Amino acid sequence: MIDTKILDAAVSDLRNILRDGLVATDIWDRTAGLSLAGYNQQPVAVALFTRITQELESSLVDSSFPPLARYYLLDMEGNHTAVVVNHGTLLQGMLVDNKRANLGILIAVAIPRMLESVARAKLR
Amino acid sequence: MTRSIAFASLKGGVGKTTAALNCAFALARRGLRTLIVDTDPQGAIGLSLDGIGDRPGLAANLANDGAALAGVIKTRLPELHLLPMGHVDALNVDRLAVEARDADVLRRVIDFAQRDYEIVLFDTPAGLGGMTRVALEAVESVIAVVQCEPLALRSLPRLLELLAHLREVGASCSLLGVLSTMSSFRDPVMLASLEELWSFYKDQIFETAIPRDAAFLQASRAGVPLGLLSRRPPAVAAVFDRLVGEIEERIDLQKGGEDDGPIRLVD
Amino acid sequence: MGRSVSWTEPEKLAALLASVAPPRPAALVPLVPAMGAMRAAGGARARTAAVTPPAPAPPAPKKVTPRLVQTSDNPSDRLDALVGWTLDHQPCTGAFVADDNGLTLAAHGISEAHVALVGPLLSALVAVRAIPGIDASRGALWLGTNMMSWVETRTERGGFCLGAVGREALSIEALDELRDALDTTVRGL
Repeated sequence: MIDTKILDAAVSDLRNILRDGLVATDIWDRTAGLSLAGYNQQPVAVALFTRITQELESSLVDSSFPPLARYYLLDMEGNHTAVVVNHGTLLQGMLVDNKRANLGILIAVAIPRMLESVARAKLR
Repeated sequence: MTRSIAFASLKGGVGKTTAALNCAFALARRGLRTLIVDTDPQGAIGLSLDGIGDRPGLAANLANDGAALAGVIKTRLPELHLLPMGHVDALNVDRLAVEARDADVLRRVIDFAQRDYEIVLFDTPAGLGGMTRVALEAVESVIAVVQCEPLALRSLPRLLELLAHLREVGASCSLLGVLSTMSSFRDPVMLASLEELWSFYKDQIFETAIPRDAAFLQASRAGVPLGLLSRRPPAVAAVFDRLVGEIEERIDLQKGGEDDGPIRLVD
Repeated sequence: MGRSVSWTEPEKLAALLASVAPPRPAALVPLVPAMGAMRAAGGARARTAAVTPPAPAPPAPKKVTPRLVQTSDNPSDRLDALVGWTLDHQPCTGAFVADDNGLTLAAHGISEAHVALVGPLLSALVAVRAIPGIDASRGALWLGTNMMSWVETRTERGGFCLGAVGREALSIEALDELRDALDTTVRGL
């Protein structure tokens, strides 16, 4: 059972950290495709990144590469970076404006905080 | 109030005219009514742009005691106009500066520009005498252009000393910022020069440095600003958009006015 | 120590710059963001950029550096405050905070060249740290015209480095102060 109040608080914390650098974020159950918490959520993105993440993970395993760890980043046109955080049974997508967000704070602070918060939410 | 900026440097060949011209283009593209004035007796702006040739400009206005803005040329950007120097006889170069000072021609250009322009940029010749000094005496702000190499760095304080002296005798010019040009991280001496600029000039130096790029030569050859080199301008052209963003912040350019507001796209 | 590239005398230059500066209100001097080259439109921290000409004065008594007090729980604000404190209270012209990956989290007054150095520097320290008896959590590096001094601290989330760039390396006492300030800051990250 996942505590969605903790997830909401984590999203709020993320918005506070990245400020106007955060364009959108969504946390979803990757099996059901059900969105649990987010900001400016995009259902199409949930489906897309679930599929991309599955392909990525199975390709890594099939090629005998180490499995996906905590996250991956995609540099997108239009000054955007897409980040997908691996929370195990949950996935989280973020769309970040890379002219307004600090990459160091994203990777060293925001993502680790999200990982901790979602882990806490899953323990309930 | 119309703002006035002179691009100045002690040394020649540092990219002053290129910087002034491309900044004028970028400012106009942002919607600011911009006038760029060539104060170089060699007519550097005229040499940089196809289509100017020997059209009369500032020199002719001085010689004929004409209107300060006679000879202003419109460009394909409605917001960008330019006043070339026009032909100056090589033997008359020294006299030009004396006559320009006596006639206070550049202050008159700025005064008359109040009606139609939001910003006036002056490209000046290399060095600290002649028309450069006349321009520095007239303008509100100065951008010191410095190439990333030791000799240029060593000469920069001399430009600042001249500014300080002019202010002491009543001129209102001040240093808007230091612009580094032809920067490259590849060469250790250039890197050391850039690093010293950052260390010594701190907040005065513009964060945007103009890099070395083959596109500048191509634009020179074609006689156009970078933004007009092709339908999709080279990536380096965006450097001037960033630079004018910094200039606008520093100079606190007043935007809009009472009559400013949404403008219909379709009538 | 070799002469600088530009043969500049810093005190003389500072006085000259002060004499040609336009009158400005407390200027917004945003920190250098790690991503992108443009300044962040929002969230830029204000720091008064006052350049005062140095006046000749007798040597001052040793100053006690005030401890950094963090008043915000926002990571960006805390890091900006740390950089601001370093610039205010340490003899340096630039300061930055970076993570284990060499990514800059906050910076002011340092060049892209310095930023680029941090990653290789921290990677090199990984090997040094493995040598018994060697404390690699602080040091100084000559950059050709300036010294970069740094301290490092480790948290559950990884390592963070606070660097300062200036004419000389910082003293042991100054490094202790930096380390204390860094620890105070990352506790809330």
